[in-house]
Amino acid sequence: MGFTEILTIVVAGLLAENIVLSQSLGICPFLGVSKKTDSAIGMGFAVTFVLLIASVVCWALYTYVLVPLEIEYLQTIVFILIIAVLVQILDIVLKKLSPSLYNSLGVYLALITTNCAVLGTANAVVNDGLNILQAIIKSVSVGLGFTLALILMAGVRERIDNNSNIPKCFKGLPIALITAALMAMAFAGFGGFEF
Amino acid sequence: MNKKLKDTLLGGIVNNPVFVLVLGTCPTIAKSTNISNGIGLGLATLFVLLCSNVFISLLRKTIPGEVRLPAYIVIIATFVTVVQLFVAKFLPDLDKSIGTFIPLIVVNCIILGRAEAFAAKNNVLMSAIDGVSMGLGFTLALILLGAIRQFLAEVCMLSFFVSSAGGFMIFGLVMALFNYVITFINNKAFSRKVLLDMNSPKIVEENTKEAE
Amino acid sequence: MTKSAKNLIKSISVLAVIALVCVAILSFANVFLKKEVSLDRATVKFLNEKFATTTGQTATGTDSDTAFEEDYFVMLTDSELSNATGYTYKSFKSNSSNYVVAIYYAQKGVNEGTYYIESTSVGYQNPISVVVAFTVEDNSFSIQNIAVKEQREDFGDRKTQVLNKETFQVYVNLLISDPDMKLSDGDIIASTGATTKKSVAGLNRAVTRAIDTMNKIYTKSEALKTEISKRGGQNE
Repeated sequence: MGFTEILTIVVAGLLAENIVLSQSLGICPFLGVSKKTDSAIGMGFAVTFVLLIASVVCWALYTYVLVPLEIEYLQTIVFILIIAVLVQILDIVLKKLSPSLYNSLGVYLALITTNCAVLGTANAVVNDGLNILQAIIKSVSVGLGFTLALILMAGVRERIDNNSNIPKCFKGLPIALITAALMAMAFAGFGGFEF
Repeated sequence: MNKKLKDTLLGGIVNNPVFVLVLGTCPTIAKSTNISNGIGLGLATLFVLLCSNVFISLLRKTIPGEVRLPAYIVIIATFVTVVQLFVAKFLPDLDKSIGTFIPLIVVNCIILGRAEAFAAKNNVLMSAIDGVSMGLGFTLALILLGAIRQFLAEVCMLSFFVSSAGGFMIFGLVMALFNYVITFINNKAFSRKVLLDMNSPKIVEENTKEAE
Repeated sequence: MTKSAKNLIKSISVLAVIALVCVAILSFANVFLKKEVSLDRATVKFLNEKFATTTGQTATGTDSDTAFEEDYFVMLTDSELSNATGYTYKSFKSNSSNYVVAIYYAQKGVNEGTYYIESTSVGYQNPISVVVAFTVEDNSFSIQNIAVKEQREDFGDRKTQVLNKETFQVYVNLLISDPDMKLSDGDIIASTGATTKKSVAGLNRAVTRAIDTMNKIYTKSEALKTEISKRGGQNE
């Protein structure tokens, strides 16, 4: 696999097809956790970790179990159960390894299961027919793109939330959404990037 | 009709899953690009929500607490797969426009949220009503946003609003409008309550006592 | 057995029962809702008209309605394919987006003996379906023509087409004239001037899959004809 192909996947995951700002997946945690930069980084890396393992395991199960047995219609059930199990494992591991991160993530750690980005990427990896190496690179790039969007958003929100010039009806989520719109516009400039 | 029934019926509007509870934002922003997408995705979600609410309510006494989340997920995923197969076979045009988002209904926070918050604690009929109400609320929100974006994109020729950035922006603006309207209504109700209270005999008596 | 162990076993068994019931429901639904390809009137019309000769005559020589009613085209079934060649449709499948949809054969008409392989792949984000017409000679086969069945490749504005007629015609001419019938994506982009790699790669992938499929089955074309004539014998 050529270097340009790898670079295309990485740039697509990070910038050109950023999972949050271009494909609009993973917005619940994006709006919920992006209030402080520290929790944003922690959430981003947790999601990247889950993305990588979930994509690999789902790809393997699809290629070696679902397709040969012709039970592809069980794809949704199997994939979401794998993701739920992985998040549960991550929950237990984080509680032991890094209690501070565990506490800062709070309920959003369990919500990684319902993160559209994880299931969406697993489905994309399988439906576009990527091989295992492409799957790994794509899932890591998507995770890092998610982290990037979260960090940028957190940086902006830390300033906005204390600003008293915002009209009352815009406070909280609406102004965050407008900020996301402006960021998405900026990232749309990377669209169509190909090597 | 009793209060609970009325609250459940109007739940889709008063506690609108998109604008008030802020659940299920991913399909809202991504696929409210026009009205037909909104109707399709909204009705698909309504079907899954109704069926999963009914089944989870039926089984609510049987499922032990520790495994309730995996059990809910399996049940919801079953109905999502049924919808997926049905749309792929009988509605190929819809499949082309929203096909990739139908499997993502299983991670729509609305369905898991209502299963946990409502269906696990109420009987089958109320759960069914809640499912339909929330599903209709979601569909109406999608149609509203879809109508605005489609109007802007096709009539005003501003195709920006069909992209994801436009989706964020319209969603933010409509939510701000919602907040404004709700605050306005609440303020009126509040000021009316204050006026009524202020003129109620008990408070007037207390005020005159203070003045003395 | 301790109470917590009993609870654990009870929880897992309830979960297992629910999972089994759901899988049963899905298997049942899958039987009815499985997508099946069949040779319908629209497909016959497509094959007949898109592969018209340069003189304007339709592929079969008759109009599409007659072609449909009198079975000028047939679609190879899995059993016929495996009896004759040892391959099934599944052998030509890469994954749920890149696969051979159907192999059609013209058993009557002006184009008798021509194989039409429909295969699909993914372009930028949407599927691209092509039908490739092959004629089989003694020990080789050649591409007669290629037609696009479905594609929605645009530059994001939903208006300007990437694979427009001129680009596609350049690609087809290039492919037919190449003796190996193998073009790399770079060659195609250089010749057609197309600027989007994924759309061109998707198109090439679909066509290459059809060519590879033909490569595997053309040696058994006599056996295939026998299988198909068995079907025709039953009809009469």
